[in-house]
Amino acid sequence: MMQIRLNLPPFIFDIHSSVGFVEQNMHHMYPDELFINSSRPADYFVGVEKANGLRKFIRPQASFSFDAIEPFKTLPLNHAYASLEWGINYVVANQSLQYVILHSGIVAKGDKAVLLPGPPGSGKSTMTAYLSGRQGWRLLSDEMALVLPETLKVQPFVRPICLKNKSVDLVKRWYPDAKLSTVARNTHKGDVVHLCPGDSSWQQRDDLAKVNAIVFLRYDQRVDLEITELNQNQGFMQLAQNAVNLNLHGQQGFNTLVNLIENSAVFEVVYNDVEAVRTFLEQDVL
Amino acid sequence: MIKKITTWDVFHHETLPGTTPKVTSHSYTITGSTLLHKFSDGSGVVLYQKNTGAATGLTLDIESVLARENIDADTLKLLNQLSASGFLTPSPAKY
Repeated sequence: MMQIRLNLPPFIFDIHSSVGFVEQNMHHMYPDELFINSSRPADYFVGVEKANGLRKFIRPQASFSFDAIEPFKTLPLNHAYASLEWGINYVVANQSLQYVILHSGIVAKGDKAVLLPGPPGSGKSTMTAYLSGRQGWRLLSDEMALVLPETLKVQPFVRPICLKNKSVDLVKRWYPDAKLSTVARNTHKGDVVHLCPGDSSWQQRDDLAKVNAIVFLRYDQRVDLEITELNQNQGFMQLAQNAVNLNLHGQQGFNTLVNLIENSAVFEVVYNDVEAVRTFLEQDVL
Repeated sequence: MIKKITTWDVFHHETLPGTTPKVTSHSYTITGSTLLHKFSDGSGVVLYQKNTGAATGLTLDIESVLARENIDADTLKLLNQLSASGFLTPSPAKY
C-alpha cells in the first residue's frame, strides 16, 4: 500500500494506491526530493485503488478517487497510473480557483513562455515534449497553464508529459535516454505513456515565466510549416475556447485573457516538422 | 370606402413615432453583466457575459452601432442574436 505526500509546486498532494506498478511509476517519474514528509499539510487527497466487485476476477479494474469521491467510472487496472495523472489534472482544473487555467501546453526559454493551446490530437503534448528537451527550454506543463489573474505570469506545474500512440516512438527517437512510464494500452486516447521531464524543468519548477507568445498548433502530415499571424480578436476567441474556468473568475478572468492577448504575439501554426517550429519560435518570436 | 377609425388607431398613429419602415437601434443596450474590450490592433471588440462565461468577438464597433439612429436589417438580426445570448437587453420604452 503506497501512501505518499508529493510536493508538486504550487500544490502538495496526498496520494495513495494499492496498485504496485503505480508506486513504481511514481518513483520512476518524480524526483526523490518531491517526496516529502507527511507532516506537511496536503492541498488535495487523491488515490487510485483496485476496484471491488465480481469483475475483478475476470477483468481487474482500478478506480480514481478524490477526497473519497470517485468521480469517474472504473478503468482497466492497466490504466491505473495514467488515470492517476489524469485525475490530478481533473482535480487541479476544477479546484484551483486562484489561477485562470488554460487547457494548453506551456514551455519557456528562460523566463519567456510560449502557450501552446490546442484540442486533443493537435500535437501540443508532442511539441511540448520536443521543446522542453531542447537546450535552454523547460517545461511548465503539457496540459494546463496556471495564469496568475490579471498578469502575464504563469506558475509552473511540472509533471510527466502524456504521450499518445505515434508520439511515443518520436520521443524515443529524439531522446533515446528519456525516462518513460509503463504503457497504458487501449485507453480512450489510445496507447499512453508518460515522459519524465528533463532536470532543468524540475529544477525551475518554482520559477514563474511570463507569456510572450501564444501559438495555436495543428499537426498536418502534408504541411512542413505554415504560419498565420492572428489578429487580437481571432486570438481572443481561440484562447477563450481553451479557458477551463473563465466563467468562475468573472471580470478578473476576462481581464486576464485580454491582457494576454494585448501583450503577446499570436500565431496559428500548421506543421509536421517540430524543429522548424522551434527555429521559428527562437528566431522570430522570443 | 371610408375606413372606420377606432380610438386605438387614433392613439397609435398620433403618438407612436415608429410608423415609418426605418428601424431604430435604440431598442438595445449592453447589459450590466456584459464586459466589453476594444482591441488595440483595430480588429474589433469582444463582449463577455460574466454570468455565463459566454464570449463573442465582433468586427464592428458595437457601441457606435447602438448609438446610430438607423440600422439595416442584417445588423438588427445581429443585435437580436446578441440579445438572445444575454449580451444586450432591450431598452425601456420611451412612453
